[in-house]
Amino acid sequence: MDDTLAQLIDMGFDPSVSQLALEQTNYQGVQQAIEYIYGLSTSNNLSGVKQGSTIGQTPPSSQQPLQSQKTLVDLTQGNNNSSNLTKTHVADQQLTSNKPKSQKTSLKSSIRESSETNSDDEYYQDVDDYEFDVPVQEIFTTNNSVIQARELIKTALVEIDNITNITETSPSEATLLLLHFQWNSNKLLERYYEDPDRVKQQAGVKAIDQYKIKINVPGQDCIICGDSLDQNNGSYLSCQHYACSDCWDGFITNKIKDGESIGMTCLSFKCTNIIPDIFVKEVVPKQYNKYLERLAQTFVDKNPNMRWCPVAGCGNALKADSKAETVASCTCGFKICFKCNQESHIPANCDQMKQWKKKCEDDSETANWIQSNTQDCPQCHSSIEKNGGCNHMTCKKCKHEFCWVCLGNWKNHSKCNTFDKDKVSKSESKKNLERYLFYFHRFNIHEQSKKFETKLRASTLETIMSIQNKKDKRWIDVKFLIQSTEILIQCRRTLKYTYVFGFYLPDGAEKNLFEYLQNDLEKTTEHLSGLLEKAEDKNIFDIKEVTNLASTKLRHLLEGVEEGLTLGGTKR
Amino acid sequence: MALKRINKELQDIARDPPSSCSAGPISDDVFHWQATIVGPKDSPYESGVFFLNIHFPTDYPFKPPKINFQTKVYHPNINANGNICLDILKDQWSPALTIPKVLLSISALLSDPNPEDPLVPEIAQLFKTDKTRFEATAREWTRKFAN
Repeated sequence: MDDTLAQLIDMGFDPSVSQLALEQTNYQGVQQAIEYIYGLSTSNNLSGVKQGSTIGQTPPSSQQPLQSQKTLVDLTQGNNNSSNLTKTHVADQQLTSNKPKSQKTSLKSSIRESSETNSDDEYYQDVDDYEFDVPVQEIFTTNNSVIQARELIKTALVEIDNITNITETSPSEATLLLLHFQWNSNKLLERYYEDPDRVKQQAGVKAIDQYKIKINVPGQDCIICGDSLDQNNGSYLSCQHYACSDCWDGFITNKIKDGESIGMTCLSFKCTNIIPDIFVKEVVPKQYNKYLERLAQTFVDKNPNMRWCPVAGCGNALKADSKAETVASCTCGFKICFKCNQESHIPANCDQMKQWKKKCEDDSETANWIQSNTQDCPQCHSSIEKNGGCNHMTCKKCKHEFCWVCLGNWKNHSKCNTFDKDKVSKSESKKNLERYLFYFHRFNIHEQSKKFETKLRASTLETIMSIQNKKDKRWIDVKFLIQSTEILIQCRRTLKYTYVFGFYLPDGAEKNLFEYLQNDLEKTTEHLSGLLEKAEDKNIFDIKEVTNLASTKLRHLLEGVEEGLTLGGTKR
Repeated sequence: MALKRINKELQDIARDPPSSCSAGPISDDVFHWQATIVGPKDSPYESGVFFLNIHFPTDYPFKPPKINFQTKVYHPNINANGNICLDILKDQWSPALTIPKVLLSISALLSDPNPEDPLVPEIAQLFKTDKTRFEATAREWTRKFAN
């Protein structure tokens, strides 16, 4: 044990940090301790995001380091004067960055000093406040919990166990009951206490535990392969459809491969007897894990309060705490609309998104083509594509003859090379198209920006590291950059969807005010984006300030839309 | 497993041949069979001889065999490629089913079409609205293609 501690100290870690890391990892070894120390910084980054984005169930693994880091910081601060270790280690630098003596005092403390002496320096005092003016949660808050992909089976089994205990049934029966009630335990219990037998019957729980595995069934053959079952190889459910172990194995393995889990029925034709979990476990032990994976999948698929995070490779499940929930966020940073399963699209609603999508599918591709290749007949306003070089056009529909260049009547048209700005008249359909393209263009631009800014998430961590490396800043001084990036992405996503909302918003005072707020948010978002892209120690105060501003404006816009922007405005 | 089971089915067919149908491998490949069904009595397919192709998947009998008509049939649940819309060949398949049982089901489908779950909507429509014309066409096709 002392060896490992000495080894860690030799590697340049602070003795107290090493000691704590070893304790926390149960003295499993150097490797684990180092991972733990590194994990402090990274998992903390994550929980910084999580704090804002999800409330409720967060895996204990990420909460714990948060607390322990505090202890670590304290420890290291207390220890710093005596330890003269070279600070080459990333974790070390983060945790022990408060080295006030010989080097420059930290910026934060200098600000505090200045604000104490200079009472007019309120700006800095404000900025120095670690909390944002508008608590980030207010914008981020989504009342959902996130179940990590690796925790899913465990969570499902806990739920089954719970029902098993309360209803005093077997786990197989409990699973069937849960499946029948779409994993809604409250409803299950309510109904179960009313009439247990009826509920059991509805859920297909029928003599489910009366099965036999690998026994001698003299005089019977396997109904699948025809082998005789006198070799201790016969298995059957309560329905007594005899089959050999190999056939059951092949049957169940195939079903699991096809994605089935709980609820598979007996192998006999038209037999509805359900195969219990325990039967699967004993007949095909090798496939049982896969079976549980599938079971956990139904746990999410069949549960109306749960959704998969749609991000490729994420695999987490999101659980809304109430039915009224519309937006849920995953620890990977993605937010979904619980109703339509798409990316969260506030302030636009699901119907508008549906219409918008259809419009985009129908229009955007052809629209560009029509825009650049056709003109409208000046008389009947039908779109015309030119199919020859001559500019003397005759409309196929109304036979009107006109000049392709100036759209004037061919017969009395003499010169069309002079620009006449009054003459620019557009048909209704083209105006509509242009209006749509205007919104679509902006919708797209914000989408593009959002893509780039999502990449900022990764680089923000690098920036934080580099600022900490170069300057004497504490983790706590720069960690808000993570939140800034999240707010930026949030603003971007909202802006993107404001163009859908705006497209369907009728003209009027409501729209004017909306566009004013939208414009305001747009400007601030661009400002923040610019700052974050070249974030360095010099501009972190600006970033803090602008982040504050952006979150306020975002809130104003969203609240405004929620409550109706003007009196008597249309409530969504 | 598949081979053992297919061979067993072959033996069973040889021992107790099903009425009005036959089935067996085309060549050395026991995973590829050909079957015949004689058109059921009192149906427009009566006295026609219909040929079917049977392919066994490698995980037979845990996966259903692939069966399609080689002979053209005018029927709401059988399309121009000879594909058959029958639940037991899809999700209702059970490894306890055998080829004779499946052929019997197909024969029953010929006598009793299921226009509510059609593979060819036009034929199903005609079946529902003008049964006489449907039967005339089906008889015509049987005479033309299944004799």
